Amino acid sequence: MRSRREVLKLVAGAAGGRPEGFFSREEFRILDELTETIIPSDEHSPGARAAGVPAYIAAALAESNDAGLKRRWKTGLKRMGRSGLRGQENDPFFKELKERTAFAYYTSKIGIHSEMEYKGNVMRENW
Amino acid sequence: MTEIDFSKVYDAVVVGSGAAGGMAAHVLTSHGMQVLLLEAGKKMNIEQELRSMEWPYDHPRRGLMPPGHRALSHNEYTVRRPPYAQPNAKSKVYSYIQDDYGADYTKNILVDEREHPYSGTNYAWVRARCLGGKTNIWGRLALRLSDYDFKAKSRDGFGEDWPISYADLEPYYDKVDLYLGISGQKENLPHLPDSLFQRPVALNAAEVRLRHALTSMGRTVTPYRAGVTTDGLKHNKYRSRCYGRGACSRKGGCDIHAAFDSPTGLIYPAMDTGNLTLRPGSVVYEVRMDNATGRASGVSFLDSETMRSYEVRAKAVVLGASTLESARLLLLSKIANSSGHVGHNFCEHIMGPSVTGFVKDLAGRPRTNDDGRPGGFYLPRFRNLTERHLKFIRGYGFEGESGASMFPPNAMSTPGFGAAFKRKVREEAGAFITMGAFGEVLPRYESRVGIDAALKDKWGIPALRFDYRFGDNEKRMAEDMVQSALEMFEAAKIEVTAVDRELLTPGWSIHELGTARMGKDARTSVLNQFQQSHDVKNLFVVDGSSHVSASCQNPTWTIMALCWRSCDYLVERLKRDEL
Ligand SMILES: Cc1cc2nc3c(=O)[nH]c(=O)nc-3n(C[C@H](O)[C@H](O)[C@H](O)COP(=O)(O)OP(=O)(O)OC[C@H]3O[C@@H](n4cnc5c(N)ncnc54)[C@H](O)[C@@H]3O)c2cc1C
Ligand code: SF4
Repeated sequence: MRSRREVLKLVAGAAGGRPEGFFSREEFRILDELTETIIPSDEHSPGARAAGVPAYIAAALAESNDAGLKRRWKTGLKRMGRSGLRGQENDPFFKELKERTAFAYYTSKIGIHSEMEYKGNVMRENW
Repeated sequence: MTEIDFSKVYDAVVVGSGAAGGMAAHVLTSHGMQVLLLEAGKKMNIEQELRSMEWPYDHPRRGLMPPGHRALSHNEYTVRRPPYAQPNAKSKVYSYIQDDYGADYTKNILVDEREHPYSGTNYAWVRARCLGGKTNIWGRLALRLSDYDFKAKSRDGFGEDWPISYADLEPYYDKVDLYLGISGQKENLPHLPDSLFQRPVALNAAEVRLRHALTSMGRTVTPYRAGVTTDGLKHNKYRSRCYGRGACSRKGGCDIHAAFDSPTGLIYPAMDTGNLTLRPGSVVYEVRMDNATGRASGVSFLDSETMRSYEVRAKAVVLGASTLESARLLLLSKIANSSGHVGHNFCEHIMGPSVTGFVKDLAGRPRTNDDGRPGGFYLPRFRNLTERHLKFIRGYGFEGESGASMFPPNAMSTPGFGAAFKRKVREEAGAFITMGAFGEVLPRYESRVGIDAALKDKWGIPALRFDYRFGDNEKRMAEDMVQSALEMFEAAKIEVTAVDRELLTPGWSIHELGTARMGKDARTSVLNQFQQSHDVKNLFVVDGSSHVSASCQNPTWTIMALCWRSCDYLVERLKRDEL
């Protein structure tokens, strides 16, 4: 079993232990806001923020060695931070942002158990 | 036992440890033969790799690969020509099947493309180099062929009939079923014979609906026929029965081995007989001949780490290195090819056309455990059985499934964002049903692989060059796949939400077959009905390269049944000193 410490270390940000990873505080704030707008908290379950989506995305980008990807996210966040998400649905960066948000959310503890109430991945005696 | 006795002449040396090589090792050792099994890859700690029940959030990258490792994208296969992984590529490069969630669990099972180049026409060649080969991660759909396949030429005139009929192979399919375990439901279809099934998986609501709707069309939706033991196997201490955990739907294997894999199903039990010597890390590069007798004397191999070369001797040489690797070995050794057919008649399955649908009245229902089973459903071939289709010959079947998986199937396709998006994904996630087709590619003489002497793998062994394309029959069949899928969803009143019409790059099905076909005539075939070389009597090729045509059923169960039959014959001949 992979140690939980290893997971935490990575999510806590490869870059110097800051939760924002390679983003500036301002960029991370925008990321946090946009991901929560895409998958918000509602009466059924907590949303992207509580599920640690921004921290996961920041950590994945921090350790990536794809310079183009990193640049895209920095400029994309800046732009979306100003414009907001409404009306941007055909923007390629919106698609990327939404996909990463959905991936991170629906693979999180909150996403799998609280939101989706997933029933599998258990040993079934009878089925 | 891993120490080779180089002074010894083994009864048989088996090359490769996947479905074919594993089965050869099992059958030969069970008859008391002294067998040496050479496998190019390593023996891995497979349970440690697969971790079938690990939650995504307990994995540092939610199942994705770390930086420095990457998979070739669909696009790279389609646009670029081989060799795909350029030698200066910085990251480790894997085949497309790694380009997904769960990739980190299986990355070490698949080869790094940079070390295994090939050239020629586009081909997505998935290779697993480790003990057990591709059986560590196969999809487990375990199907029989019938005389509609073995005698296809007699029905439509194309290609050749197999030198055997269903009656010849049926007892061996039975043996494979009983020894390895298979789950399924009897349907009494002449074109898809039943196995000796253990408990079937249950179809869920949308699947049952499709089954009912198709009955009047004379088509069948049957529970996935899985090479999985659902009731357990008393004679095998290495494998558990299936606990319906659902890890099957994540790319990767079954760490309790309810799903068949060659190491726990065949090789460890063969080791327990005391008759098997296994040497992983042994890259065979040549079959050695004794020119005085015209018989094979053994094989030469390289230690994959030290690169040192060795030669071992055996009374019989059994190749099970997988279809294309066995063909490569025959071509490199320049043997068994008086017919000129080695490398030719290469075939497989087309893949790509698929439909996804939505069953409205299933939306918003309380969550159920839909994927706690080893598979969904199979929809067997229905074309060119009783009536002739005007546009193409042969047939295709569909694999499909429905219900809520761990990752919601609609998370990426649902439009919008915000509270409405979130609710829609939640409420509709369990209401989708999807199926994709696998169709027969005709074995054409001109579809072939050869040796590219200028291109070498990491071990200095010349690589394969592909000369292989789909023809008109495949393209017309692909159009019909889409048409018929739409028509069946309509009959079941399932709303179609997505259609894929595109034919994927050749190789995508991972069912490569042909290249050393069996036949009665030594002038037009490489092997006889016992997978024995027409030219070299003590040489057998027991993998999919021997198949005369691809049929549309997944090949692994047939590979193993044929291999069992051939190895019984080999032993009988060897005992009578007739090899
Ligand atoms: C993701 C996936 C899904 C699949 N799904 C299905 C399915 O649902 N149903 C089905 O029927 N089939 C399926 N298959 C195909 C199935 O895995 C193969 O048909 C089967 O494994 C073939 O067995 P084999 O022994 O011929 O080859 P392999 O399993 O590939 O084994 C060959 C072995 O030979 C070794 N080898 C190669 N060259 C050499 C050499 N020169 N010297 C020594 N050793 C060598 C390799 O390292 C390997 O271990 C799937 C495959 C994959 C990858
Ligand atoms: S569903 Fe069964 S066969 Fe599949 S991984 Fe789980 S236990 Fe293994």
